[in-house]
Amino acid sequence: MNARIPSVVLATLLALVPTVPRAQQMFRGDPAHQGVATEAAPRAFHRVKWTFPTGGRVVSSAVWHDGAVLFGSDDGNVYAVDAASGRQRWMTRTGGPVASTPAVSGDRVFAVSYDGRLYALDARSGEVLWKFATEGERRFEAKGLHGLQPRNQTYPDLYDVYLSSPVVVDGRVVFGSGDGHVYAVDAGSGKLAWKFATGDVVHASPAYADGLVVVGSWDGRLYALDAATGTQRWAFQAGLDPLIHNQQGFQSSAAIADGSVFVGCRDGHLYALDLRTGAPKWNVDTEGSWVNASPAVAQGRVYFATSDTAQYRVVDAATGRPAQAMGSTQAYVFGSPTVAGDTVLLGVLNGTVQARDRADGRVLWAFRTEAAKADRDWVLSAEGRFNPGWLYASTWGDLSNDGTRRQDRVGSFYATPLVAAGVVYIGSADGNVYAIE
Amino acid sequence: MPALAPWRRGAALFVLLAAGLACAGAPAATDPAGRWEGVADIPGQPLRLVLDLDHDAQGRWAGSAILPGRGVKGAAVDGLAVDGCDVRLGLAAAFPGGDTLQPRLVLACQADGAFAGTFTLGGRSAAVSLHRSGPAQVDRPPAASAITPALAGTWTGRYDLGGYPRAVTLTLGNGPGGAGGGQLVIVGKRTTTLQVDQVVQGREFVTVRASSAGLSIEGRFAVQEGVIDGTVSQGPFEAALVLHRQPGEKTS
Repeated sequence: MNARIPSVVLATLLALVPTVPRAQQMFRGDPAHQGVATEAAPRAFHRVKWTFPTGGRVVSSAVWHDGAVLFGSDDGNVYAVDAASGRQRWMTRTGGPVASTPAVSGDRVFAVSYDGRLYALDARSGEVLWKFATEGERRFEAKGLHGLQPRNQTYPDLYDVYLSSPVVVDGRVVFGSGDGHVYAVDAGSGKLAWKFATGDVVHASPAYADGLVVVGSWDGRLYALDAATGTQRWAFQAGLDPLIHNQQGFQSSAAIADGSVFVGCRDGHLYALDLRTGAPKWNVDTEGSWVNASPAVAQGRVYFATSDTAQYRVVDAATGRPAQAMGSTQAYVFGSPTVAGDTVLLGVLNGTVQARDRADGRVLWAFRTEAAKADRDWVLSAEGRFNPGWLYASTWGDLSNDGTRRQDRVGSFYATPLVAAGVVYIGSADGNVYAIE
Repeated sequence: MPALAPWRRGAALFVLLAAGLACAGAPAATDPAGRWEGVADIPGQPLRLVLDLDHDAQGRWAGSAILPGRGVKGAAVDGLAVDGCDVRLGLAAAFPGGDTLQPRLVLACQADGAFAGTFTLGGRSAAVSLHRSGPAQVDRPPAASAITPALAGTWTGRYDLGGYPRAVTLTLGNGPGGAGGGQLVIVGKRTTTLQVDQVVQGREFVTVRASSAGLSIEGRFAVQEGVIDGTVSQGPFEAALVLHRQPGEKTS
């Protein structure tokens, strides 16, 4: 008798063994921030598996730990929700909106809150292990921002929606702050290892590769810092907009792959730079449209999306040339694409999650929030685009308040999709986290 | 009060129906000229409207709109068509991005002398009703003026917008109808050529508009120095701009 197990039987047995998802445990999945999920996304929409309500907007992206999805909410809490049932495992209160994506390392979770503190929590219980206080959070702000009148008034930028999401490298938690610094804090003790001063708010998430931490600031510079010491290795100066400050600043977080850094900028470009030197390799001019989404990089292609021009773009990582036809997202994109198998997932501010075919960019399926479907007060046009003529009065004077807030009523997706065991998890400005399969 | 007999109830119903049909079939002759006020019933965000309609000096229909609370006063209506007491018009000038969102009013007069119809914006529509509140007070756009020789010719300058420098060449002259116009070429990362469709020249101040791009240049001009010192603006963006007469051209 042949002792070998037939391959069909082996395959069947393996299929019966429960798989343990190795899903993203930090913003963009790994320290290099390539935005590639370890598992494939569903190719068709079947149903919403569960919905978990919070008390505020969820711009934080979900991460994975031990069968739970972890995320922050603008209601001030960090949550752990059982991925199978959608039931809350724990909730930990902070002193401000948690507009950053947590990072999991070992049995600890790290999250940044608008109270100006980095929190270290026990991943199983949510117990606070330590807090590290920065010099305090703030949004990016400027006089006459976006052309608002009166010109000499300083306005906070309501489009600065995220806080810096921490990355854990060699036992240190590295993150940016509204106080303009990049911090490295010992993950075990919460003690400061080093800090580096930039010229303005740092709300992008630091990326790490080859001993370098790469992060952009609202001063319009992308910095490469020695991960061990915090010493500056190089800085790249992107565009500045001294008049209305609309076309400047790094809200996008860098992705690092194959010796190159890829990053979007509010100056209307996606940049590719040399990781070692910071020398520019190429750029894509988006004709003034912000690139707030962090690019994803997979197998020689860079995936990104734009804000005002609502473009989904895929370019060659070596040259920056288009690798496929440009797609329309219908509305602004701030959330970052996730490459998941042969699918690319993308949250859109019009309350839609799009799943696109990775090879040709066509939309495979789209999920819309109930608020977006109902759209009771005309936030969107009939085509699903934003209705600026209605959202904003023609004086532009209310750009800083009501109109921007009203956009969120359709359940804007600022977050980046998490994929685990064939389910997509993503938070919305309607306060819900959705599990979609 | 006793109930009516069945045949009497039928007769009364017939009279009421006939009266109703007569009202519906012959609406009061409403002259669209006048000031009309009312509300577009957008859910949760009712839009107050004041619409002025009247004939201009040439006998053509003209109109303007006020949107109270939205900072819009005297926005010119576009595509105004009046057929009896049916009125259709566009409100692109009253809404940012109006050229793509195509805000429109379609109105028909009612038996009570009011207007009722539909307001559409970005493919969404809502019921609108307007009642007459007085005589028309149409805000007319500033009349284009003929350009004096002092201003005619080519002007060049530079401005910085969005962190990028742009070179401007403005060529002004009078069109066949006598009104000022011209061409505006802006060279930045790419070259944009715009038609100047309105020039308003005052004694010392000039305004130049290229409405296809919502762009305007205005400033004080000094003929002897050959300088227009002012600003260029487009939507919320405004930048300082000093234009100099093309070297070699006379300043007259």
